[in-house]
Amino acid sequence: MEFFSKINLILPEIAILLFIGIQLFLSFFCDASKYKVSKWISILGIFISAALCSKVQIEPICYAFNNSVISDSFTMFFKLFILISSFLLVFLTKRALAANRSNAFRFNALFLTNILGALVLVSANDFLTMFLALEIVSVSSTFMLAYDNGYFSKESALKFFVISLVATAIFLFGVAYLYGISNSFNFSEIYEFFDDKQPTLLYSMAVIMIVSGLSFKIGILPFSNWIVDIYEGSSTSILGILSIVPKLALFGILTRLLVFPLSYSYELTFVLVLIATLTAIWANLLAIRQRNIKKLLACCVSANSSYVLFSAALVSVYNLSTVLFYLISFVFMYIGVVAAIVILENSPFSNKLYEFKNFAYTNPIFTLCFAICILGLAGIPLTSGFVSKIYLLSAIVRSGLVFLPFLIIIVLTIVVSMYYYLNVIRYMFEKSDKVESAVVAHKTGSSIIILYFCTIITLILGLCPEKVIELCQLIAYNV
Amino acid sequence: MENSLSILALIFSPLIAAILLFLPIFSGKVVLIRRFSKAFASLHFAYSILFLVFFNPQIEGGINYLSEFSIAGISWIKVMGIKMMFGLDILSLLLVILTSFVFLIALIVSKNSIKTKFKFYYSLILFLETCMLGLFAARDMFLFFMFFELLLIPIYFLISLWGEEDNSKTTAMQYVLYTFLGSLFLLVGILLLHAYNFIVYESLTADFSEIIVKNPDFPLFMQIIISILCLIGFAIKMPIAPLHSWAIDTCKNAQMPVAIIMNTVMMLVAGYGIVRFNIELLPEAFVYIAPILAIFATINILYFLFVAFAQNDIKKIVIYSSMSSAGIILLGLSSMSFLGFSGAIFQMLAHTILFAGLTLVVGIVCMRTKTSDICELGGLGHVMPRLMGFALIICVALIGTPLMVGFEGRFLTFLGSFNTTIDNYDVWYKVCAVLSILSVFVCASCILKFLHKVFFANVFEKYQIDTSVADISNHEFLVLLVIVVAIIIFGLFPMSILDLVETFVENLVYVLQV
Repeated sequence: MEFFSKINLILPEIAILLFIGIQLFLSFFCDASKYKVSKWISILGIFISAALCSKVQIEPICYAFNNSVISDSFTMFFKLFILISSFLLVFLTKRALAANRSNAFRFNALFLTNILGALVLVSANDFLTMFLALEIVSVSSTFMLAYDNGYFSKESALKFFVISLVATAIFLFGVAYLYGISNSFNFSEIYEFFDDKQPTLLYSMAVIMIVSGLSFKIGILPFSNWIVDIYEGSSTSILGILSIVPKLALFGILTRLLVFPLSYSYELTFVLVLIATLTAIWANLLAIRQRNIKKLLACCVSANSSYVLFSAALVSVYNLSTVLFYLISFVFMYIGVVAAIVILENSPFSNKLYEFKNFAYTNPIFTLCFAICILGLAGIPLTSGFVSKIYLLSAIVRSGLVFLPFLIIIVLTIVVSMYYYLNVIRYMFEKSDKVESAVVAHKTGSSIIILYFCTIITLILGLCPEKVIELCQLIAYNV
Repeated sequence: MENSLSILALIFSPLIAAILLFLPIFSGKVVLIRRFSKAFASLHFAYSILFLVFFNPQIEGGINYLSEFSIAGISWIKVMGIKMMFGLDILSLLLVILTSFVFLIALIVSKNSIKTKFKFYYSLILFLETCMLGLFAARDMFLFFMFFELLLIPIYFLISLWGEEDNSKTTAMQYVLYTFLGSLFLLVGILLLHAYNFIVYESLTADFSEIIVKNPDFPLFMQIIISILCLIGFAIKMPIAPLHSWAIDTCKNAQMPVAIIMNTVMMLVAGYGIVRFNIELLPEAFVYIAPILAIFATINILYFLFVAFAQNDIKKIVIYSSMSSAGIILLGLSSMSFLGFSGAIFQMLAHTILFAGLTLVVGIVCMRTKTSDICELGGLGHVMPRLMGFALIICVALIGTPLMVGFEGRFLTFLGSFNTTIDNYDVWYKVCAVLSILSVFVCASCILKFLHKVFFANVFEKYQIDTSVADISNHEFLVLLVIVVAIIIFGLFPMSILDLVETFVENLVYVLQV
């Protein structure tokens, strides 16, 4: 009977699963001309799933299904956050769907599967559930990458798949070691097992293996080279989905892992700090030479992940709240930029920066919004990027003087990042003789609304972030 | 009366004016845009003078017009104790008035130098004004930092879009990256100060007047680290000798109105920051740092003047001599004496007035003759007699002639540095002072070289024929007249300023001695 009494904990997932079924079912009956229906079904599914989140019990912390699923305010925060961001991202898929109409329903089914995996991943409380969810996310990501027409998307999907397998193998290796030591897969049990013991070298090795396996997904160094290659091959909206939904879920589970079962290893903290610093250097330096805005975004995601990882590695309630706030502000700015690029793809501009010339003079309002999102990523005041930057750095400063040299390196890389963000704006303000008054707003109504929405959120979070930060602190305190 | 003056209106009205410029009334009407901005700037200057009239130095701590900007009653980032708190003490007030004055000048003289994208230009200048005012009026470390960083954006566009040379975009990028680097060091310093203040006193605040570092629990090495990190930021902004390479290209590329802003108030930002952070917040560390800073100041004063003497480009002469003049402010601040501080604050005023004038003169010459090479110029006194008259007065004041505004600041600074009472270091400071006094000769030769080559000597024939090389127009005359009057009035009555800042300076000296 326990199964049915606890079923409310996974209601959002069940809703999503139901809609995956609907999408697949319809894919047999609807022909290519009805491809737009699939988008609205996805939107409905995400909406219902988000609405069902209100039925989920989060107080007090609730475990279910043999302790394999956890539900508290932290998981609820990430679930809602994933659903909201995917709700925004669905509207950007219009062009990708139109390019491959006959597969629109299957694509949306894959998208919902990705969300399902992300939702389960966030609420996982043992390594088996986590592994399952991780694989759902990876496999659906692979096929989404391959969805686009053309050679490059297939190539990037294959690359992604192979590297993902290697990373998963390393992750499983670490989990197996951990199981060997503690005789359990469950996070809470592992945490309690090591409570009164001196952590051994084997434990540290296992922990580092687990984290480096996971680092593949968030684009952190050992397995981060794929990120740039893949970003070139696929269409922007798919990349937007792939760089937001799985990453949010990964950070959700990673912070939980760092707080509970992996928290006894000091080696891990230093390894993570080191990796984060190296990634920040690598990603920002790589971005300098990129002239393709999609590749530039890839580096930007990687760099921002490394800042978040830095703060998350130094576990404390305060740091956790900064991680949450940074993710919130980053996701909205990033979706804004993705929306802008999607709009650009619909007009005669390509992804090359030098084609943005003259842009500020023909589309002033669009340029303003785009510039605000970009400058927000660079951490310029009045945007949420500034607040999240000082909030995150303050957490690192509080963690101790030992990390000051790393902090200075991170700060230097932020200066480097300023260069390439500003470069985008520089090109938009450059004059060229080619008079091409491309007004981009037509036929892309939903994307431009998303862009405006994200810009407004970015400004609001920059000017009065107080309530959101309080929410983040409350959630971090409850973990 | 005091409550009816709103400091928020003072700070944010330029921003509102900048936004108003995008209203449909202004579309395509250049003259209207220009007149609106000028009228607004004049009103703003008058309004800022009112703040001085109703200033009450008897208030506890000397901070008048305290007021917080909050949306729906919530502080900005309350969790970190960060508030958008504005307030003016006498130093901030002086700098606010100077800023308002300089922007008024810059807006008036923009007429001839700006030829394209008027609306965007004027709104950027007004936006920049809000940033500067907010920076000087901020009572919160993070708010100060926010404006410090926000400055970069308007300046980036002002230089890259209206730059005079082909490489203006690269130059603007260089400026932004260089200053952004400095500002992030400042950020790390501020964050450390904030964190340690929390650890030692358990009070979460970033307010300048609530942070008290004087406590044995607050480790001295930490104070010194924070002080140095902040100084790196200010050294780039000022700029201090090895970190100045951005300033040359930037100011050379900037249009005249932008160059006026960059050469005057922008250089005071760093001096103001040193007073706020390094002296007021971290006095114990400043005692250790000041002697080294004095060396840097001396190098600044002398080295830049020698470089200026060797230049053939008149714009570069202005930039180098203005950096040297900023060095005098730094020397005054590092002398840690009553006279030194008074001299530094007076020099801030003198620097602003004099270099606004000199940049304007040089800008007019370059605009008319379309060259800044000193070998191509000569005898302009024949074709531009009125400009020469003003240039003469400004240059004489710059050299440091008594009874003019350039004299008192230097005199007090050198005197303060010479008579410093710090143990162990008095010889050190005396050497610095003596070396700096040498700068008066170099400065004289440098400025006289400029005067001689540009205005005297034989006139080139091309300038006699060319009708575009005309004497100054009416609005330029007006601005130069105001500047010259200010030079003479403050030169004759320096006590008008020195009396105002006396309590403030006494307080600074007291903070350092305890």
